[in-house]
Amino acid sequence: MPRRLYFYSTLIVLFFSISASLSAFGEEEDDIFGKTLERIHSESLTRSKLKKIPAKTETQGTVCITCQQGQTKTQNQRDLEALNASTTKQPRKNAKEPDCITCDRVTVGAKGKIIINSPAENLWAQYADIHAYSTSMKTQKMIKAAIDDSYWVLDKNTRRRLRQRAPAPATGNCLRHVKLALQQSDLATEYLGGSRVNRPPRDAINRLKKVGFKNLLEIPPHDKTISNPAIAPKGAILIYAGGYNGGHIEIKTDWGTKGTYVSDHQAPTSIMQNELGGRAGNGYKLIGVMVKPGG
Amino acid sequence: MSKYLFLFLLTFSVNSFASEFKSSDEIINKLNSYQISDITGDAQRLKNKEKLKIDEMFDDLETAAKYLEDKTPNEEIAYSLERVCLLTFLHDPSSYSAELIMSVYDKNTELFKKASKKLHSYDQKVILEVLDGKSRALRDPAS
Repeated sequence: MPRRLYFYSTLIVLFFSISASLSAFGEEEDDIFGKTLERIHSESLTRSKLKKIPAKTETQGTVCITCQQGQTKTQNQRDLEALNASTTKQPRKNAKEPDCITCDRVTVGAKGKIIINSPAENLWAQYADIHAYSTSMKTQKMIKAAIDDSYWVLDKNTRRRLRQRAPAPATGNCLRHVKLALQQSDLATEYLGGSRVNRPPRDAINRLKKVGFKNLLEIPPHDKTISNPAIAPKGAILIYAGGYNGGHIEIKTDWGTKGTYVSDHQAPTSIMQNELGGRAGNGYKLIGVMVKPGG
Repeated sequence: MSKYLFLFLLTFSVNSFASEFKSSDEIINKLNSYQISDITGDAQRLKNKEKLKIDEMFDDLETAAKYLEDKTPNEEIAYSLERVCLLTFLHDPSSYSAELIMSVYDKNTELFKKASKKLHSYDQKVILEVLDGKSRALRDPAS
């Protein structure tokens, strides 16, 4: 009996102790869960704050850090950007330069020497197609070929170089030299025909027109502008009537009075007499200033 | 007696026509009155056998240089002199105008360089190169 009593009493004590500990654990568990919930709740608040704070900085800051690429900006962002753009210090623009006196008119050479630019280039610069012809590679090639050949006597039939000579005086083969230079530079696809420049009249002009050249003396306002060969554009093929050999043809190698006039020989002035002295007297008349617009 | 009177009147009249500057402002006003159109219009004046503006500019530069011989020019005068020199360069490749003001330039090189900053950058380059070149050539003709 006492043994049974002892057993039951132990059981009871054990039960109570277990129930007591269990109740204590429950309280603690509730407490833990409560704190956890509180923490989670506070964290969620913080997260919501965090979510809101960048949203504020988006509207207040100069750079949108959080914007995704391609994301459309809010009105606030756009307004602030506009405000920032207006208040951001702009790079100071250069004060307006005074009017230039010598631009395009004067160049300074070695030792401070003044070189007055040719008015002819400025004149033709406003006609883009003619200026393009004068400055094209084909025209440069033609001028170079003509100058090179002016030091040579060319064979009548094959146009091969026979012997070297001084580039002056004339040999009476101006047309041959010019036609060869045209062919070598591809300005004419083939060697042009004809044996005299102006016999039959205007023969060279008509032949050049067939390969795309235009006579500036027939096109207004150039017909009035070109009063003498010095005004003709660079690379122009100048055709003259008169003389003992059925006219004359030559290529102008530069703008204004800077360059030379080249055919079977080279000369510093055109064949027409001009205020600087001229070469051949009054016998020649300029009838063609041929260019191929656009090259 | 009438002969002496005539000579006196002739001398007086010649002196009255000779242009002499009396102040820096007068120089500035006269030099600043020149424009590019004065130079371009010279072709027509040459045809009409009138006095050329470029000659007038040369005269004024020479007179101004004489006036400034014993005076210290200011930046405004230096600028006006440089500007008129540039105008003459348009028709005068010998840059004679630069020679006319060389005495002033040699004494006040830094002032001229400072004044040239008011000009267009291309003009500034042109005038300084020409003035430096002339100055060097006059100092050392062999170079």
